[in-house]
Amino acid sequence: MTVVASIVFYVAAAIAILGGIGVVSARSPMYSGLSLILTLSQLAVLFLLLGAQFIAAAQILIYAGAVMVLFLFVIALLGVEAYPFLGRHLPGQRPLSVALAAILLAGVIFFVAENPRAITGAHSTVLQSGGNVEVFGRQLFTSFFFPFELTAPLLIVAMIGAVALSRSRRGDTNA
Amino acid sequence: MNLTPGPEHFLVLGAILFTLGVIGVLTRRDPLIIFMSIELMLNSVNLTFATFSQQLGSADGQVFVFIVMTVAAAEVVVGLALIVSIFQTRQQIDVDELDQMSG
Repeated sequence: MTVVASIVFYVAAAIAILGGIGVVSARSPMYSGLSLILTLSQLAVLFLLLGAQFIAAAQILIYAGAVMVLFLFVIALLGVEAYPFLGRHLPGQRPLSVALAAILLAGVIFFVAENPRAITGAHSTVLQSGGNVEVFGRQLFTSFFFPFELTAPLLIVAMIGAVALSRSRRGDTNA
Repeated sequence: MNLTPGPEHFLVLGAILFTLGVIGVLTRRDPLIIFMSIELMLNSVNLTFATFSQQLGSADGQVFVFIVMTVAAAEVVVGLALIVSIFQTRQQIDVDELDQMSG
């Protein structure tokens, strides 16, 4: 990687981690959501660094665009004030969960550090030749055609489910 | 130590983001924030997929990312509808209070 790419990586990674900390530690769900948008947009930059241009565009359009707008809309709809910071926890829940998460992180980092060869497979030039979107589209519509088609009924089912859930019930007094 | 970002840097970043998501799910009581933490975890896995895809020179990992994004979008739609529906009937939502289905 070039020097510029390295700098971009470290800046994007730092902002992404800060955003992740914000998601977890913000008191209000609104700030959590805005931090998540920050993280997701930086992940799009990282996807670009990885040569996944289509995924980077989809990340911005689907996640930072559609999904997070839905999130922020629901947060605004339900009202931020409606959430007191609920302090009731299981005994020792917070330190215990942080400790368990630290063990998880240490395990993954240990694996990555121990097996540097396991993650550097044969370099091929498939992605470099003919542009990323073309290769991606060819894979999507040949090898992964059936999963791709299955996303259509999945989205339909999700849409119908959401409409059925949010429809006010008949005879509901507080509709 | 090699400071030029290689695949292991991306993988460690993905691990850090995933761990942050785990901490969010384990410590927070607000279902919306738990939900956003799950999104964070899904995205960290997407980053890992894209890293391996680039490393192996194959677009398969990127197709996986695409599928994960689709499933996550469907999940968000249904999950948020559920949260809104619960909120309409309960007026307050703390995941510890939602225990009607426990035996």
